[in-house]
Amino acid sequence: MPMARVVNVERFSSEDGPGIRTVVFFKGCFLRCAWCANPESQRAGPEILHLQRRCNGCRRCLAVCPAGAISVREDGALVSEVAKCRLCLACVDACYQAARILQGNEYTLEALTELVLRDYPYYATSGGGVTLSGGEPLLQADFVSRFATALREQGVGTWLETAGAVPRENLEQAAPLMQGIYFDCKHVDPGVHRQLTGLDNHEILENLRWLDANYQGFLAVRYPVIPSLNDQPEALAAFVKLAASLKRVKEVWFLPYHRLGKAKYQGLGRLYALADTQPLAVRDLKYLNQYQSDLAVPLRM
Amino acid sequence: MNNRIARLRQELFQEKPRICSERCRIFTESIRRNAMKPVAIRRAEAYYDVLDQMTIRVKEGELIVGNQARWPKAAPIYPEYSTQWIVDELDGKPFRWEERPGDRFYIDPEDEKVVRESLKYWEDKTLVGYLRAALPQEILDAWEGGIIDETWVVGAGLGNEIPDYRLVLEQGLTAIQERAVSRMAQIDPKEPDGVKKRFFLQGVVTGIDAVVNFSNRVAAECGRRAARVKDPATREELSQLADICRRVPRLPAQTFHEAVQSVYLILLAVHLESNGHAISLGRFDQYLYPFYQRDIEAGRLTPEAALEIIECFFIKANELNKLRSWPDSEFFLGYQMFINLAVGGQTRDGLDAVNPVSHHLVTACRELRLVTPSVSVKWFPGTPDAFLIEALEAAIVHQGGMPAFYNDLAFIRTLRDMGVAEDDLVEWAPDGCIEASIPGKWDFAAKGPWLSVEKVLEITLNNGVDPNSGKRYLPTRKNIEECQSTEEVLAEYKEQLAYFMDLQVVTEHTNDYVHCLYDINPFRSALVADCIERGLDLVEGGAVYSADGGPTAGTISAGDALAAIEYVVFQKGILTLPALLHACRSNFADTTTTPSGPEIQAILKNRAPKFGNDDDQADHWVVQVEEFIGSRYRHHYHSSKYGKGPIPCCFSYSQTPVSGNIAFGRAVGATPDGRGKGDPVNNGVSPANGSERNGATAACNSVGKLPSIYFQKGAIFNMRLTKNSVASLEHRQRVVAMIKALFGKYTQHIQFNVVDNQVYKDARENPANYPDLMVRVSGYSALFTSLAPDCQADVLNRVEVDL
Repeated sequence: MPMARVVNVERFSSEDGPGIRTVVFFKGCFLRCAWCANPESQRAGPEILHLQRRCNGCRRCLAVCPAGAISVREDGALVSEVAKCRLCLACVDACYQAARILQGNEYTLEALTELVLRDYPYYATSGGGVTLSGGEPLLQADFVSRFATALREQGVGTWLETAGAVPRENLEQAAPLMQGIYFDCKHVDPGVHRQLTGLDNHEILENLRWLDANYQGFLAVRYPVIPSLNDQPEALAAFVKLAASLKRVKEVWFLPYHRLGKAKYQGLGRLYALADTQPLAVRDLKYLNQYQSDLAVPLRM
Repeated sequence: MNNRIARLRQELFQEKPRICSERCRIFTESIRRNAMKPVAIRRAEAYYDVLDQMTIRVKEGELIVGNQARWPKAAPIYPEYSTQWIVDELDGKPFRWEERPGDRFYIDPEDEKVVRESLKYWEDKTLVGYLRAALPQEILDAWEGGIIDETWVVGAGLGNEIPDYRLVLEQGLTAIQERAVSRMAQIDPKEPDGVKKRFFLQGVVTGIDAVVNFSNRVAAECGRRAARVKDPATREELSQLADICRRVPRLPAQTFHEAVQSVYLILLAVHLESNGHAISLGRFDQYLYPFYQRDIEAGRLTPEAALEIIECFFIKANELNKLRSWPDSEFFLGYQMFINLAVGGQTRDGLDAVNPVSHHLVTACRELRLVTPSVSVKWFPGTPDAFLIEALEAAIVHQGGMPAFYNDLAFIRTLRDMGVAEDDLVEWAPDGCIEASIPGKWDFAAKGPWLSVEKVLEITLNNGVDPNSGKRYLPTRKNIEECQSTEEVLAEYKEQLAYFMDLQVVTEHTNDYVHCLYDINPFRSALVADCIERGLDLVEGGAVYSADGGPTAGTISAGDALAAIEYVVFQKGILTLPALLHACRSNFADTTTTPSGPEIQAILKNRAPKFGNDDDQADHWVVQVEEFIGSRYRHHYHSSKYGKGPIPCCFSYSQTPVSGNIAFGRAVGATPDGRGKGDPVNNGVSPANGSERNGATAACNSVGKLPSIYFQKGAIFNMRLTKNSVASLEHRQRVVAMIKALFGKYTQHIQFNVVDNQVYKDARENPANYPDLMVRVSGYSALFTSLAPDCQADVLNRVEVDL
């Protein structure tokens, strides 16, 4: 039986599909988007995240680490270096502030199903369910398919958030089990896409077209608007043109850039490339409503 | 809100709470004259004298009239309950009323003189004095030590009643009086207690005379003012009010306006008799709807005019006030009268009971944003979502957690278990904060002493000694340091809880004995069945239903403490039990240990599991404590009225600590849940401050595990929501869905504070800018700026949930 590698399970989410939802963040993603709000979900393996807002700087973690894997960064972060860390969790146990967190717990199908079904009554009264997010859930397609099937047997619907950078068979295996899919596009141009995310978008666009031809559920495409990286008028227009060409898409979303993930970069000892980029509010994107006229489906933000 | 209402509301906010000496003087003179008469009669005659001699005040523009004191928001004084604190506080111990940290009152020198003079008579005749003289020393010690607390009712008067407004509206006080007269004639004075019963019924007759005379005096004042005003519209209004008050509550109400005025005069009259709080309104929308419907159909009333009358009523309800001692005020901060008003729910046929009056009440709550009445929406599976959304939207505007939401399923299950008749079940309404009562049939018996559940845990962990005083109560059976499992600690804790609950119950029985001798209130009793039939006051066992029991505070914190012991000592082995106990006893300040005191506190706060996260490691222990307390109250004890008629005469579990979680917390040392010495314990069944980490549904699931069948006296669940989480209709639909799922778990109640922390922080700095900012404190709302600083901090520390 496959196990799931999960970063976090967030309950009572209200932004990732209809009704009250539990979002399961799977670990591992092929993309390295500079603006990613969940950097702890990118690497496939487990790792330790240091939360500086909880830390009181006692440095007990440094003292107990048998591998000497923890280094003190200039900004005060006490970072477990992935290459050295043995994941013995001595530092996690030693931290009285609960400032060190293992990212990437393994769950059996039964355990994860039990956990998300704790909120079954809320799904029932709100028309909600479970949303798979990440990371890239489709990199764990075997588990995801079994999980969605198990939930369906309990009368709970599953939605998926994907960036589409996965082998086709993964998509084909899991997609039919999803009630709805949010498919994220970062840029339409393959070269720029590679610059922004580390991969070009051929596979992604192929997968999106496959969904458009075959997927029976609720399909929405989303575009994160990142100032000066992908918000040029021609880039936006290209995305809208792509979205307009898709027949089964029911909604098109623009997501305003936010930098709520910044502290996590610090806690993983990674550089946040967009340190100087200002976050956007929904009202900053009002001008994008002009694109509604190019679309046959609702444009949302 | 129209111009009239805006003006009346504005004027209400300009009134400062004062003390009025009239009632104190008139009552004292009357009792002094009649000191030798039987208690029911001397009390009823004093009541008559007060209502006959007090100043009547009518203001132009009011559509509902009647007053409790010489000024709106002024509190009368009830010296028969206790006097020492009044004298002390007038002498500045600990504060003069105008200098208190919260809930200030102002008194004129002339009034102060009158009060001081009247108090002299009462020095050796107060209810508190009689009670203290009757209680055994160990109870007085526990009282002194802040483990139980007994000042709130005995020191300040009964209350806690939902009179039978429907009966008054349908039959009028005259019909009730006739029943008392004919009952008196049936009772043979040669039978046992026959004489006493006739005294009581004589008191009922006098009490009703007093109220009818009072409403006639109000009518006369309306007439006098009508003769003096120039504006013809106002003159017409005032003469109409004079006509109304001449008719009701003496006779059945004929119109909607008469009905609302009648309800107000009854509410006022019960307040004037015994200084209680929590004199509530019951199912206001249900008993008023027939009048509304008739008037609308006859074209005598428009919906706008009805709303205006209701809003005048709300404003008048805020004129009522009560002076409490400062220690007592700390338990009830916010000038709170706990006048609860139920809307919605179901009819006896199981249909949705929401009617046009229900909508008007929610509108009034939203538009006026007042402290009182506490509007309570009763939900059952047939309540339309649209009504819940309407109520939630009102709560968002009100900002003070009103309307709050109540679960018919849970309360009906509890009341059925207590023996309430099937026909009565759907009629339940919250009294006071949240306590389920059958209007017109229920003796709330809210004299029960409080129990500080976390304090008892502290004493248990000190082997039966209160570290504050060094006083030893019940020694533990084994040395706590030597316990080998959390179960063993829990077993000792249960012994200690049982000991202090026994003291509570003995206090209550003693209390009832004293009240029966000195505190008979025939008028309020006449409005609850079957007091007239039995010839008994409520405290003597006159009601159809009765259950005792005072509020408790800190059960969740205590369960968290046990969970922490289990995790830190027995599961993870981070500390030994003696090391943990040492850290608590030294308030986490001993830096010579390893780990140090502050580090231990951090472990307990951050690492140990906490209730409110749907984590069975914590919830298990909370449920154990809840189950023990709840079942013991319900099945182990009888109240003093047992066998005298009322059903079921058990005790009931109340987790409505008002602001007592702060007041009680002050006497409790550091505890294994990581709470520092003197910090607040948790509020109601809400998770302890700062311990919710898994979001709203996880908190709801934890609360859903509690044995709510025992919670007849209520279990408050507070949730703070951010503005974002209710910004769109979709968001509000999710909140409504959450309420319904939560209630499917037979939880009783939830209320929301929807204000961002920033607003409260700013209000703390600049109170003058926020004269009407509301906040839900526990089972009630208060003006934020009227709260003492530590209560404000407690509100701010509650976790804000961003859905």
